[in-house]
Amino acid sequence: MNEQTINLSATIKIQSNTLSVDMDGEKVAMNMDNDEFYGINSVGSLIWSLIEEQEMTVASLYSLLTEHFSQDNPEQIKQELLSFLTECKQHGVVLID
Amino acid sequence: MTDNTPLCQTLDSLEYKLLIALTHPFPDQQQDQVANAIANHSFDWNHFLSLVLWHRLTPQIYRNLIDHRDSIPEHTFHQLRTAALNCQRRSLHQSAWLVKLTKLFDCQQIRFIVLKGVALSQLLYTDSARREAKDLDILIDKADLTQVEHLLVETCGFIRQIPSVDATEEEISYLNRFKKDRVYVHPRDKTMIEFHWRFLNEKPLLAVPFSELIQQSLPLQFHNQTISVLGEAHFWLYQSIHGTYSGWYRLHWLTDIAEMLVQHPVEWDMLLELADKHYCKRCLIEAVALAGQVYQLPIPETIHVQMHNNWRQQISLSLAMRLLAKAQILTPLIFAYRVMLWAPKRYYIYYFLYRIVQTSYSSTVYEHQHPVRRILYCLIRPFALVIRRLL
Repeated sequence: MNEQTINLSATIKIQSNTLSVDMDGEKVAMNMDNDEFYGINSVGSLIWSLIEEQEMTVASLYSLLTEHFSQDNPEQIKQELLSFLTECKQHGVVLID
Repeated sequence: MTDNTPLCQTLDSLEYKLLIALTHPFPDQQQDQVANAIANHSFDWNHFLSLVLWHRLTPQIYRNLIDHRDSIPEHTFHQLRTAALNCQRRSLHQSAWLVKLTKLFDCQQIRFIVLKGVALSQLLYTDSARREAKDLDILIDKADLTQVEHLLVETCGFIRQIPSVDATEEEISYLNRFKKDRVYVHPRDKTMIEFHWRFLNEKPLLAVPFSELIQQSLPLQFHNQTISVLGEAHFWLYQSIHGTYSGWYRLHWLTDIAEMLVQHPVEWDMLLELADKHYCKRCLIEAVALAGQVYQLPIPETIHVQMHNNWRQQISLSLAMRLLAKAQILTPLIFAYRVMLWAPKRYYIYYFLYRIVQTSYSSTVYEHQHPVRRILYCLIRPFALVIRRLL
């Protein structure tokens, strides 16, 4: 799946097979099905915390991020968000439906 | 004793003071202590690190020191970080297994209570990875032991470590009578799980029926699962007895008690009555008094009165402080002395002898030797221990 195929109206939630902990202010997620660890950078950790709190649509998440990073280019935020979500999906730690 | 055992320490050393400050339930003085340590050229960071590792406080200390990383010797910080990462990884594996076992046991209607480890970490620190734990301790009904072992070995791929897989029926039956748990290890991620059917090998202590424990257990949300932990009163008694029985050689047991004092205040008169019923009143008093003394926390009046009216309890507390300062695993002789702290009077001699002659749980002597050799071993063991100590 590439970034372009993620629909903004899709709902994101963390997979039930995933555990995560904080490490140095960043998240480490573990896929319990294959025991694979996945280190998440600081921006990814912020996204992760938001979807950990409650499942939400990609559009809502994008809106929260543009609010948080109001100084940054919205298009760049969108690209980074989609890239992160794609990577998470490939690791099997989030469900985008 | 492992290599990282601090050779000597005193509770009023700079290093120990920093350890206490960084694990204190009220972290007000942390910044002052860190500033003192950084400014003081005689502060021994290697010794501090060895204390952290020995007392199994790595995750807490690492988190509280991370903002000062530039002021800490690079080598020390690197070692601390590596140890913290290992703890993190281990606790993720343990949490994952706890989640998997919860689902599996729920399907099979096997009831269980999680005693310490990641569940205690979640309960006390609201983070399953905050507290260092070597293994998962799970209490089950002894009647479910065979089914639990079958699921663990056949479905999950664990290997029974104690008793070993080639133990005979006779040996297993012997261990089932006298021991409290079985140990399993997963070959892939090395997760260790202990399944307990009672709290201690010594039977009269906190010998609460499983049905009563489960009835009073509390639900805890753990990574989107609901697990059971001990009810508040049993939780207090178990934590107290575990530390007292071991002789408080690791500070993290006391850190938990201090945290419980702040977060889980109880009706002390009722708890003391229950503790008395289960032969662990003196353990409870020692745990609370020791935590109060080390962490400078106010001790409940009831405990204070009990402490000051009992000279044996005071001597015991003073011994516990020394043991804590020494950070040494109890020798059989000191353990035997401390039996007087918790054993009912009529059991003193029995437990004294039992502890002196009993072989180690992991000893292969039980499992592979002829009965005559086992008896000889038991007779020789106390002398062998004395000789080892002298040498």
